[in-house]
Amino acid sequence: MTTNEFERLERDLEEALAAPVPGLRFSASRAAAKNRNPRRWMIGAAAGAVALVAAVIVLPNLSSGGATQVSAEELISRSNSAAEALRSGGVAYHLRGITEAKGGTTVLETWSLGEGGSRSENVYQANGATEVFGFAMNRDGYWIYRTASGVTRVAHVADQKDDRLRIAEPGDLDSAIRKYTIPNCMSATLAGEATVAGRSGYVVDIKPTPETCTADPARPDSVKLAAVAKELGSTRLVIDKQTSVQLEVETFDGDGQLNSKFMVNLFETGTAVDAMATNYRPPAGAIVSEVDNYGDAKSVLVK
Amino acid sequence: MLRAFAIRGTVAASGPDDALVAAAQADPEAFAALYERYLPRVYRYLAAKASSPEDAADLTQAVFLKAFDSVGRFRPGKAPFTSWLFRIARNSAIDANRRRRPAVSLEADSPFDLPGEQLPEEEALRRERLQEIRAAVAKLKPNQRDLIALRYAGGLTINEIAPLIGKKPEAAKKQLQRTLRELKEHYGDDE
Repeated sequence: MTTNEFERLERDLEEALAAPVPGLRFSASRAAAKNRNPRRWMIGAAAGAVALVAAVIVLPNLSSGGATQVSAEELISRSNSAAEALRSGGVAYHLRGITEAKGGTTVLETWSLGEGGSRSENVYQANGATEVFGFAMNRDGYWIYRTASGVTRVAHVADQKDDRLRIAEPGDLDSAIRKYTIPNCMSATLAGEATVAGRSGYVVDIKPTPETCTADPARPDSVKLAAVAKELGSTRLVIDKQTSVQLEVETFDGDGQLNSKFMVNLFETGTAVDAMATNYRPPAGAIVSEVDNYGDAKSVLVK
Repeated sequence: MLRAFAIRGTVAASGPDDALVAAAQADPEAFAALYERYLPRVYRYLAAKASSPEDAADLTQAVFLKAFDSVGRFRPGKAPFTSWLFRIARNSAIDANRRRRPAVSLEADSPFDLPGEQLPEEEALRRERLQEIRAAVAKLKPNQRDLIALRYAGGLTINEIAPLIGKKPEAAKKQLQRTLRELKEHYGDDE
């Protein structure tokens, strides 16, 4: 086994065995009294599902398009063409939404000042335990933070070139659809219109297409994908007509069962946005680390 | 590369094990710092051996309660605190498995993910790869699985593992290398 193979195997083992750690709380007084009053510790839950709905997409105004005449591909094309103008102008918004998934609920709150900064925070609750995960972008760079079991860990990335740290930029509908779509194995179509939190939006269905997900022996990845093509889940998005923010995200497993549902219940734009919300600073007592990139940030936060 | 540049309010939790142990021996409340430091590693080790996350959580509770009760008897210098704590964890897992049919929980999924904007293609392949390696680990002998769990779920070093399995560090290292070679035979041939 070569050194590279050895290192790869070790990385895979670490990842495969990195079970999400529940928020078990320890109390010395409770521990000392265990014989008098044995009780189960509170168990939080993994924050794995939190990430799924954290991204919020800002897009150009698409209200001029009739929903039934516009394909998802056309939406992407139009959003991309107008993206540059929006980037320079910026879009300010504040939203709050909730995700219900197996094991718990997550409240997402996002503030975006366009180029001026943004912040997105998830508060995950399950079985009485709470875990907070968030990230903020401002003039000081990126702050990524997580509070679990009473401990807040913060990673700061000064370099803003890491694309994985972006949370909201105009023209990201393309990214949003790509996020849920596997080329050749899934397709996106415009399914109609819907109203969420008083906002009118387009409905985009992303579904697996096993018939086109063919295995190419020259590409091992395609062989693996073809093998699991029938098990791939689907996604339904509702995208705000005016701003192209995701208003609703439903994910389904391969059997069509609902895995999770995110729905916006508050949406504000313009002057209602609190500029201070993006001005994140680590709270007292936080363990703060300066890191070079997103990968290192992750290793800091999941200790 | 990580560079810690500020630690405020958690100085106790950042010290060496011996200092934390001494503090816990003097003040039961200080045991919380050891708990905070070792919870993820102990839980992941037990999760790799238990039949469900709930069982792993119960075992974790039992391990830390035992450690809390007996930390006063720990003597630095004989073996690392990590080895002492994981000996409790290992024995607890063995006892639990004696009480019921062991079912190694290597099918557990959904490790902690940050919003990494991972593409579904990458995610599907990653899940496939992790399923493969869990299946390969499940084919190993029990002592080999334990070695893998100690090293890669518990994050123990060879020097910490050696006293746990009753071997010298060099022998423990060779056993781990043999296990990895065997694991490699069942996994990742197309990589």
